[in-house]
Amino acid sequence: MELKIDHVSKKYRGDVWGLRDFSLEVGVGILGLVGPNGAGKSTLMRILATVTRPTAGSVSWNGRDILKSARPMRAVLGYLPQDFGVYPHLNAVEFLEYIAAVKGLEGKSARKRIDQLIQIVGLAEARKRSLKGFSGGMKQRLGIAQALLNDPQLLIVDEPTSGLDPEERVRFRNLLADLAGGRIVILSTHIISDVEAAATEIAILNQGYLQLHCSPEALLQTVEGKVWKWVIPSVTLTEMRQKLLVSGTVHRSDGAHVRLVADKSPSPEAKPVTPSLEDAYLYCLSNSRKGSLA
Amino acid sequence: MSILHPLFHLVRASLLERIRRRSFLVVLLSVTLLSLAIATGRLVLRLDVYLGEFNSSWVGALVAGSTTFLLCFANFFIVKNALELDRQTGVGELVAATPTGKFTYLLGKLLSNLAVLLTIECILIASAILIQLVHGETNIDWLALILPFVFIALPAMAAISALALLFETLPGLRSGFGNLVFVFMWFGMIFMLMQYNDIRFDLPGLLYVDAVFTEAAQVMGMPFAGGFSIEGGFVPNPSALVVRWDHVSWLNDIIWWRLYWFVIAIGLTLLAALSFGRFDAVSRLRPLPRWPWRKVTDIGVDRLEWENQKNILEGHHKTSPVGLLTSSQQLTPVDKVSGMRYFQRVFWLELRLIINQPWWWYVITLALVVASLVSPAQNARTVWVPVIWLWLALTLSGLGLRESRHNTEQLVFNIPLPSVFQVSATWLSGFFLTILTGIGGARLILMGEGEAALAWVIAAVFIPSLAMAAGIWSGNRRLFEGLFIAWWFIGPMASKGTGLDFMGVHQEVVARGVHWFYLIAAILLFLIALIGRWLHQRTS
Repeated sequence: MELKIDHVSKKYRGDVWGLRDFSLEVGVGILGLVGPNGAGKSTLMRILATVTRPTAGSVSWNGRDILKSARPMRAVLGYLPQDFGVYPHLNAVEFLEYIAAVKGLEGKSARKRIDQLIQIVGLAEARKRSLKGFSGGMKQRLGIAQALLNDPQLLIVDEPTSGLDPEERVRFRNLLADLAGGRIVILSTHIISDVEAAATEIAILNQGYLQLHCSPEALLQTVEGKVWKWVIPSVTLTEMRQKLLVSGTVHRSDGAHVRLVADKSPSPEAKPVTPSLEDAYLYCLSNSRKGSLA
Repeated sequence: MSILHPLFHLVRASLLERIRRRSFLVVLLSVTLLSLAIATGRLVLRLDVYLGEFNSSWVGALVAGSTTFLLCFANFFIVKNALELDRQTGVGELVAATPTGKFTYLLGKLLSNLAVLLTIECILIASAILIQLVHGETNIDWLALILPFVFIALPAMAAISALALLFETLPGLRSGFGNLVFVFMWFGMIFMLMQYNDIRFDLPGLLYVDAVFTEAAQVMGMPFAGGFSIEGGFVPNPSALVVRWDHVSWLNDIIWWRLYWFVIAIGLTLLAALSFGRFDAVSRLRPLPRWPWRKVTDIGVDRLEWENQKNILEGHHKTSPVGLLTSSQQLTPVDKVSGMRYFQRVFWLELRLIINQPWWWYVITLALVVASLVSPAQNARTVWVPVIWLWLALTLSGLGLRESRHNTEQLVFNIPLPSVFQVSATWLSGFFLTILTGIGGARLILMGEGEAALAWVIAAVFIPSLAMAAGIWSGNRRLFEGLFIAWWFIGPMASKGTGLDFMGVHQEVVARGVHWFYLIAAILLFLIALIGRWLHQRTS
């Protein structure tokens, strides 16, 4: 099972590039796709989901070019777009039956799977309620259920946890981790904790380019010994933010507890701390921007 | 994989979603009123001087023949939202990532269009039964009653469904312009049908009714020269002769011509499949740029962030890296306006939203306005101002539904301005634009034609009122566009001085003071719009 993205670029009207010369090989496991807003994550997801075509390059699924024949990939694809919609006047079961049918699933088995998925995503009580009355979180759970209908080999989920409460987010992360065995999951998000909890590989996108592709461990190593905790007076916080890469701040009675990423200790009072993926991500982006400006 | 299973669910989901909408209730109500008009004899199909006896054959032909003619036109606007629905809700993107092929998907949409129209047809069949019972005919011949619906209405519905689908797949015809094209096509076809009695143009099946009636009249030895009319009025024509008509030869050659419309429907669906881009936002057929000389930056937000970071790293600190506002920065205090100034600001902003159009919209509008100003005054009144307002209708059709269309209801409906002011500001911006573009009509004042000038102003009051009421209640542009364009043709253009001339194009209409009726209608429509908005705010 292999997804190969080869020198893919996507150009929009007005000479705006969504993606530039992007290459990546993805195997079984969860790939966390992270990057700032406008980095090209959704463009890449839409290309992989065969919803839009790249301007240049190719994408192959198990050696077959999906731009020439998308059908084999669509048959094994589960896709949850960032801004997906529903028919507001159908209920959850009717909507999932519809999606199951257009995915080519046989009626009887599809109905069983719909029942199971509705239980898994916690919509059992709302199964017959009009989707118009669903909250954002409920709609998102329905979206997750529709993506899993065909037991996909390739699951593409774009910002899946946005709109979910903390409990639902944890439940979804666990669900993703359970699903990862024996399939490719591509999880696009800018919530680094989601990636930290589930991803086996990470790809960082910035300005349409692939900035970095590695394991979470390798990414963490880039900031090993470079993350510091420093207690400073609150009034100097603004100045500190402008000078250094601050990844977190907590106000306490003794001042602002600042978490920052720097190659060298910013002060003898700063203490080294264990880095997180968020620190590493910010450090990577900061370096890439410095590199672009140089 | 069998095609039937996905087809069934495509049809079912699309049908349920559409018939459960409030706008479909408006459609059902209109069809029920039409049925009642036929049942009570206020709308009759008369062939030459004959009326049929109310047996199943005649009632079936009467209801199917007259309603197909009248509804064919409306049906296009009723079903021209199958793809729009998937595009707007975002379901299209989910479907695009499935193995369902373009043709299967479009065939499903075609059948769902047909299913929506069949729902309407069921009401008409029920009304046909009611007509028979009302006239004391308890002996219902089901086959004779239903067959006219199968052979007259069904082929027409199939062709209209497919045409609507094709229009939806073509970027240029998807919008109000497509509706305008359809209306021209429709009236062109009716003109050709009347002119040449050519069966190839007989989508409503009127020649068929004419032909079978001729056969019936001949069998009964009654002279019948052909010709038919659909008459509306409150008193049935007393001079009409009643004829018993139950000699129906269904194997007439003409039946095969009805099947020809199914072939057309399949052909149109195949064409639609060719042009359908599977909801890819970057269409192969690119629309004209809105403002070609302006640089388009779809990633504008990102660019701002990038420049911000650049400034930080270069030491030109404008904002902090985390968060855009720091404690040392202060937002400019804002002054609040109230009363008329508040209303005035909302009005200007509403106007700005309406005229936020691409460059070619301004070119066309300006060209038409200039033509209305330089042409002879009489031409301005009878040709240019009506044409400008026809063109403007495609813009005004967005009045009252912008909030639901762009999902800004929750932002807009909680502003500290009562709905009456908000609706008034939107209406006023529509009125302002209508009067401004129809400025050629102001020349009537200079010519001393005070009453005609008044009719022109009242038309400018009536048009945005109709647009707002239709937009708010139906939640789509199609109701106003279909209604307005058809009315424009039938009223100011085709009629010779009937009350349908809402623009006061004809002097005799102005002399009769018909415009005062339209002023009352405009006020009522405005109130209807206001009630609709109030209900919407309560339920959204």
